[in-house]
Amino acid sequence: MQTIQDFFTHDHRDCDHRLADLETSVADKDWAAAENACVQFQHDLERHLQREETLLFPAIETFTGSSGGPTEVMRREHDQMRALLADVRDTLARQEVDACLGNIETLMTLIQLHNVKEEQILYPMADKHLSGQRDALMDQVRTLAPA
Amino acid sequence: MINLSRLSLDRTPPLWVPLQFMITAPLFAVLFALLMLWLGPQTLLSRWMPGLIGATHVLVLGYLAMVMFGAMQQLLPVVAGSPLPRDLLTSRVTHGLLALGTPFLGIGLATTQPWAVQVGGALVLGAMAIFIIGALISLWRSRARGPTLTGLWLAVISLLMAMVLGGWLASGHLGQGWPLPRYMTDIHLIWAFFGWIALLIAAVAYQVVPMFQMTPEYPRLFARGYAPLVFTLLILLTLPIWLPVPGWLAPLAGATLAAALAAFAAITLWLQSRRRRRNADVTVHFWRTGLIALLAAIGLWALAHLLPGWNPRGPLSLLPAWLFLAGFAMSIINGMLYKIVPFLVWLHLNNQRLSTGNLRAPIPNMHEVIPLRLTRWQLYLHWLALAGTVGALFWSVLFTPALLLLAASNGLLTWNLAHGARQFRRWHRILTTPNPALNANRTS
Repeated sequence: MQTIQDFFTHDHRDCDHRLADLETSVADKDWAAAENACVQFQHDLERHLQREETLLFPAIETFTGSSGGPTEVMRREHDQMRALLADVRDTLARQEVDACLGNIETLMTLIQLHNVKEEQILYPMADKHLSGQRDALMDQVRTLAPA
Repeated sequence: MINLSRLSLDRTPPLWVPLQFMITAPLFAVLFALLMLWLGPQTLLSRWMPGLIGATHVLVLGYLAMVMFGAMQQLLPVVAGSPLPRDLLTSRVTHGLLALGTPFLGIGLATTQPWAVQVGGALVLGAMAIFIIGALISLWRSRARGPTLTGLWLAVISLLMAMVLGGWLASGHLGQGWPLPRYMTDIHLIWAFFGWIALLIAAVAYQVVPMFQMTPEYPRLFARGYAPLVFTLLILLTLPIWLPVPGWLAPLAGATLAAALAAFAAITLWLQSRRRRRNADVTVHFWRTGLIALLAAIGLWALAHLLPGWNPRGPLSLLPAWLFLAGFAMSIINGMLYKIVPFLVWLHLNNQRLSTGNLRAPIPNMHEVIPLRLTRWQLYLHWLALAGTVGALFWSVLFTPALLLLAASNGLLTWNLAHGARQFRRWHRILTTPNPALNANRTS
């Protein structure tokens, strides 16, 4: 059975690639492709964030004892990503290449640093403490459709 | 229930903590260039010239160690989930000691002034010791595992080795009467170059190369084995100080070390050629420059050992070391600064925005913190300075213009980073100033 670490890390890379595709289209000023790439990225990112917020984090909080602590920090960073994505969408709609690329770069960096924390620390911790319920949890995670 | 009190995922230190190191560092590269200009081209005649030894310490301690100290304070909370203990105090003290001690030590060595070497050496050793102890405690407390953590551990221990050997050599020069075999200088140098600098860059590369350029991951076996292999080879190369070892051991270990470093450069270049992000920004160019310079340095080193009778003397013998320091280490650090500083400025402004509750207040994105145009100019100046300084080892007529270019490149780097800091101050003021329009809305 796939580990939490493997599944979510793979999910991160998929989202990263969507964002890289968006960046390429914006740099090429291919606005139709950029619009598509943005919709695709937003869908994948939101699905990933909700997989964590509605399923993984609550499971982690059963052994960390509260909704504060590391998962709280992760949730806060998710909200920062959503706000930055809104900036990307605004500048994309106005077809402002430089501003849009600057926002994409910022979002990308924020996401990457967030991913490091999850992949280095949070996921290994979850795999260690959730081994008994992992299979059931991962079934739910895989089938989640973003709200 | 597990104890999470030490797991701090959002312990971002205040902006000034890393920034003071990063803005000061390029000024030491300017100081290096000016010191070399003052010493003149005859300083390049041999690696044992006091002027060269002193100037090199200004560059290595003032630029490389300075940036790396600052970067690690930012990095440890992220990759290890564990900040340096008493991070604010540690930061102030190490920065102060290093910034003050480096010119004394470097100029003292260059001009053979024992009192200055003594004062500077004591200050630098103090900075190193505090930093090393802090970093080891932080790594010890970390729950994280993996190649990056292993690389950081071994890099910090290598710095400790380089520091102890450096301290020994310095006190020997100050007339303690300790034996000073030249081999020991080599050992001091390989721990600093291939242990501390190269392993720290590799540990960071495992994270940032796939992350910022969206390349495939480093091959697992390589990422796991590289730092332990390099560290073991350094130990083998150090053994002859104490033990009688067979004569073939050191050449074999040296050749394996060269091959390992070359593999790191080649794999990283190969990963970058497969990157998903097609935009080649200045950071990608700085990385490529650094890795190609590393390959060139190793190639020249190998040539000097393989071709009998081809043993360059005088300035040319310095070429591999210069390519490693200025070509490899400085290029990569320079490129990383253009990612780290703009992101940190954005991050702290964003935190400020969140704390005031004004979530939609405009703040500059990463590309607006430091004008991209100026970073490109600095890249061109860096390339010219690199080509010029390499050329100056062949033709001494290039000595002055090349060093002026090096000073200009690093002067512009400081200017650019300081521009980022000014942007932070400006936008911070805007965010914290009560907004009359907003207040009017609230009251109406």
